[in-house]
Amino acid sequence: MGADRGVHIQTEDRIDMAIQPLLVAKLIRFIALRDKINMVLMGKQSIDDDYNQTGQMAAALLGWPQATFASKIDVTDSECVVEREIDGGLQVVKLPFPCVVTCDLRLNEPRNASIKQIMAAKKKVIDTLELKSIDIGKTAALQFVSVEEPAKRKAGVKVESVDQLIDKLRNEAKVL
Amino acid sequence: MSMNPFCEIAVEESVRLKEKNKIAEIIAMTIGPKQ
Repeated sequence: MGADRGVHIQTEDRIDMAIQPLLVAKLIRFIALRDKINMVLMGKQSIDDDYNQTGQMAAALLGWPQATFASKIDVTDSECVVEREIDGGLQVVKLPFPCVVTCDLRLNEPRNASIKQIMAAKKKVIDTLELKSIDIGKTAALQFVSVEEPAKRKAGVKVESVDQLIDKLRNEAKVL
Repeated sequence: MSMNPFCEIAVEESVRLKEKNKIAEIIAMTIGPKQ
């Protein structure tokens, strides 16, 4: 898509279970400090777990200001200006650097990578490190108790008369 | 494997900011298995 370089923290742990928000937030902090990052820009949540925690935790662990659900971002020499989608409408906040910003759906529409970009990506450097080599607390704090599909919808029933409908509503569905 | 949609939006935004010369370098970070 156009990044200059990559960092890949390798792990065979299940990324949908063992790799939890707090751990990811700690890893973001680790890399942000190591590489002297000025701004962490990330999605507001993942679509497998829907936690919406990682960005907020990373900001707290770093002690950096945060702006979440960004629908517009601008950068000046001294600060980041973010428009956020909130229940009542839109809120504009200004943050000094370094800061954490999490992105919402209406921020932009990603463009397809061009052939040139795809070719260029193959040459870019990816710094690889093993998760187990990083000295941070890795115990998964959340335990998965259960994961279930929603209850299947039962088939509907056709009735022959209004009386039959009332009978069913009163005696079966018990809503009358 | 595909990128989380919200993260893809974040990468796109960083590319746009770089195109406008607002930022100097984009580092993409990921956690997961060897590809």
